[in-house]
Amino acid sequence: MGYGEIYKTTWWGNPVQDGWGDIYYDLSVTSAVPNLLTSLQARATYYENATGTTTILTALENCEE
Amino acid sequence: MKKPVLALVPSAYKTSIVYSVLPVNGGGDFNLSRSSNATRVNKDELIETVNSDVPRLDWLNSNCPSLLLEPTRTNYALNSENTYAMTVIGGSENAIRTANYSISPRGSLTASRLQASVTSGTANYSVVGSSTTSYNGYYTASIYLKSNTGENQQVAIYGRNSPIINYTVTKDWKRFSFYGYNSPGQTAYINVGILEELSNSNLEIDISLFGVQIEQGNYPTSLITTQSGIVTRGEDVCGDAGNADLFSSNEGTMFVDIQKTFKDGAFGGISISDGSNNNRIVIGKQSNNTQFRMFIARVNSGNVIAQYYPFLDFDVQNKLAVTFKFGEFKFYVNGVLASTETPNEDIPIGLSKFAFNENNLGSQDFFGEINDVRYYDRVLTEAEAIELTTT
Repeated sequence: MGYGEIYKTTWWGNPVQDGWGDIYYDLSVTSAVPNLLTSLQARATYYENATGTTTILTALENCEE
Repeated sequence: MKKPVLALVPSAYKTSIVYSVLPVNGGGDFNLSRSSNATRVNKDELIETVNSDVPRLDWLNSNCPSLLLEPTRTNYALNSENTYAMTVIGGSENAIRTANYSISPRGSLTASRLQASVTSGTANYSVVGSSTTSYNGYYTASIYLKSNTGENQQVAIYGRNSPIINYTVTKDWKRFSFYGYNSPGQTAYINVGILEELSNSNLEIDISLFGVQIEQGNYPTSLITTQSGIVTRGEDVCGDAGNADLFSSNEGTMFVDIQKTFKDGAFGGISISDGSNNNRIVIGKQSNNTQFRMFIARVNSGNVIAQYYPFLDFDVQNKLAVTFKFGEFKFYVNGVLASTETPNEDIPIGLSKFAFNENNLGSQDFFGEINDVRYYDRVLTEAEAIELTTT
């Protein structure tokens, strides 16, 4: 991107269930997604695409068994 | 729809490993190797160098990254990121270069400036260029350009036996490329500037340049950084995900979501296999660059028991799935049940590895941008598979 351009995306880090960003979790919903992401993040050195991964995992979670 | 047993959504990685979201125990993680460092476009849309064996999540033109898998390539253009070093071509009327003039796609003050002008006349020109005698044959040359004036400018970009035309350069960085050919003894080159002979040429241009590349092949790959010598980027080899337990079901569904398929002119497969050609399910691109081949092989020296050849546009996203169980094999392409085969055959045996090559042995690798791959241990219904593969 060119100098002085406004970023097309923003990055505010990875909210975790019991730490930074935890206010964004609806505690009345028992979703496995946050734990899956926490597990994934813990194993990795680099973690990106939290938004896209959450979207896909949520879609998978909402699938009928 | 039941959850997949294995799901890779490119998001988490470390040196040599691309992590699958499922299964959570790490049994579906992919190994990745590459013998050299390489570049990618990162989340901030800047070109970034990553070390050898580090997977590349590429954010180019997307809010969701793809896993970038590229073949080996050599950049024959020296000083690729110091375009000030490009030579003013003899006979140019007026070509003034300035080093480190503007912020480059690296995010640093490393792009050079070219101010060029010509007087009106059909034979006049002012161009700079980069060339090599180290390679002959078909080649792709590329360079990043942007306008320094805020206005669109017409810039000639051409090489040996390439189209000779003007391209519109805007205030935003864009990579331009062309396909050329040089015979033995000739240089392969890329020239940038003003050719007055082209009817729509500007008499003056003021542009920034960055990232020049001359490589063998018919499409540009990620920028390979060079200085005083040519540099070769190794290929990405990715696979070895899963184990026999993971794929032990007597039925299943294989799904791939491919953002872009590179036109290498060679077959490249994505497979679930037993580590050989005998038993495998493959979704692969054909060497003709217009067709895929989806097939299932089972024992007896890899006899193909069902297959389908869809024609696809390699430059766009494609979602494909294969469902398999005894006597019924279905092929889904972009939301359509394209073919059903009903041989009196069972599914391949001993499946144990998911890989971006034809048999987990690192041959006939698939090169492209991967959004998502999955394996379900059951046959998805027709409605489920159509929904999954709809783009």
